[in-house]
Amino acid sequence: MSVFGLAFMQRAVLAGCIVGALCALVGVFVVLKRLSFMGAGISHAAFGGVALGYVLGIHPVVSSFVFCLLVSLGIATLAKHRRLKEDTLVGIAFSSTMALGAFLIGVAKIRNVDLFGYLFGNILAITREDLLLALVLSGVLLFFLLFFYKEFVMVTLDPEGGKASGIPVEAFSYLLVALVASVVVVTTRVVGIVLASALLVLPAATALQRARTIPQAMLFALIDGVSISLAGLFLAYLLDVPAGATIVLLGTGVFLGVFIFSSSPRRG
Amino acid sequence: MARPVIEVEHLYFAYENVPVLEDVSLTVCEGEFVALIGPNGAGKTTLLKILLGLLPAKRGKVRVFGRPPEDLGPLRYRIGYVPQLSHFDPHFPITLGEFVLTGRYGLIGVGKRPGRSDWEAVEKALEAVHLLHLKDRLLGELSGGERQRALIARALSVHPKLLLCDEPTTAVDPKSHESFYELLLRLKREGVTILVISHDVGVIAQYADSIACLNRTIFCHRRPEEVISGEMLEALYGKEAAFFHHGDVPHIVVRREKNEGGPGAL
Repeated sequence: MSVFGLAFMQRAVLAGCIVGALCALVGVFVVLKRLSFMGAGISHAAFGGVALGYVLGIHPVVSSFVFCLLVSLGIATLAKHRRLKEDTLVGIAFSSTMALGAFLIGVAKIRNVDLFGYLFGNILAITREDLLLALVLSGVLLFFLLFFYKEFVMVTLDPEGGKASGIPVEAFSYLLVALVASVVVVTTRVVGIVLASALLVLPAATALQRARTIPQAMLFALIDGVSISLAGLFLAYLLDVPAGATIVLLGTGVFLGVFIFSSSPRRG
Repeated sequence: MARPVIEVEHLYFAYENVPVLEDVSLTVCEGEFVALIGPNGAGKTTLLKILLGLLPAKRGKVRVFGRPPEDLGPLRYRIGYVPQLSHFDPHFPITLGEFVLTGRYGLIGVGKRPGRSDWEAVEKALEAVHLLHLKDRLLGELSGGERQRALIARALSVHPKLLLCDEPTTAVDPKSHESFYELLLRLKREGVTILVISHDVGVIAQYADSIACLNRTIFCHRRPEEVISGEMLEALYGKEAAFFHHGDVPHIVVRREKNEGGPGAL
């Protein structure tokens, strides 16, 4: 029986491809708009969200989805305050949401939670609901990228000029943060909370070393993201090691390879 | 008498509790070319941002095309804005043509795609700053001066009725300053109203209709020869390092070699 015959492996491959693609596309804007740390903060907030789900009796994917959206939009709103810097807020949210998760799990005396699976990913645990969520999110992301591509470019390149020319840049900044949060939550299901932000940033950062334009960067990142996800899954299956870690290590390898073999990274 | 395009009356603005603009009044009429000068921290950029509706006036009246800046409607698309070059990431992955096109994004409308007329406007704007041949180059591959001209082309891409420039010649080599100001004069003749923040007092005096001196407040707005003649000229060009007295503290605004020729040779 081939690897593809296994139902969990089918789901894992499909989820891996979708997540790799989602991260690649939104990751280009994440890297250009310097939201990498925000991505890391959001993924760690998923831990608090999962614990909340267990305590409140809500599906943990739903609870972490809502929780991460609230945390990320909360950071984005507070960061507009002159005295608060975004990285400070992310730094606070990063640890406090993890603390909340650990605290709730302790208080509720939850014993049967696969903590390691949530933190580092567990491809065996990918459900049909996860897949469905990933597919729906792909549709939503593609819709926004197709219709509001130029608005996202403006928000990233020159928010002030965009505002001056009548584009609702604030609304699109929030939309971008919400999209990043959504992608991160789905990604945590495949590679885990700790490694999700790596998958968000790596393909885009690799692509941007060589790409001339944003569409080109998206294409390069897409190829890289899907390839490392697929290769990582198979390698993990063959070697019987955690898939998330394998995917991220492959991605890091490609990033370093491109960096070393590029005579001039980010030309210009 | 031409219609006023910019009307500012008794404007106050503060960042938190630090006052930046106090009792600023300034009128710029249609087709006028006004230079705004003043030391660093005088509030020049802040004034521009208020005119663009990016910052709210704390007190006072601000009208652009007769309307409040935050409520300009479609008139907003008739403003060309040239921000400072340092505002941009020079390595942003975008071609010159696409970059100039971003100037029209607001005009094109949210969720809509640029059409042929948009690209034609981009090419015309690039032609005006003599950069059309570099259209497919990356922004990061251009020199500082070329990037500066790209910013101007970006503002021109909307066929502005009002052009607001924040130090548009800082990265342009001195030889090209004249051609830049010639371009502004050409736009002025086409009826464009122009407000330029500049440290280039000597050069801009030849082109501007009037010069407004800002240091928290506009303390003079006169014809160039009045601003830079007599005591002012001596203060400006008498020493190798020129000082400009705004309020109590003298500030350096221009540093150029001693010039024998007087105003005509500036």
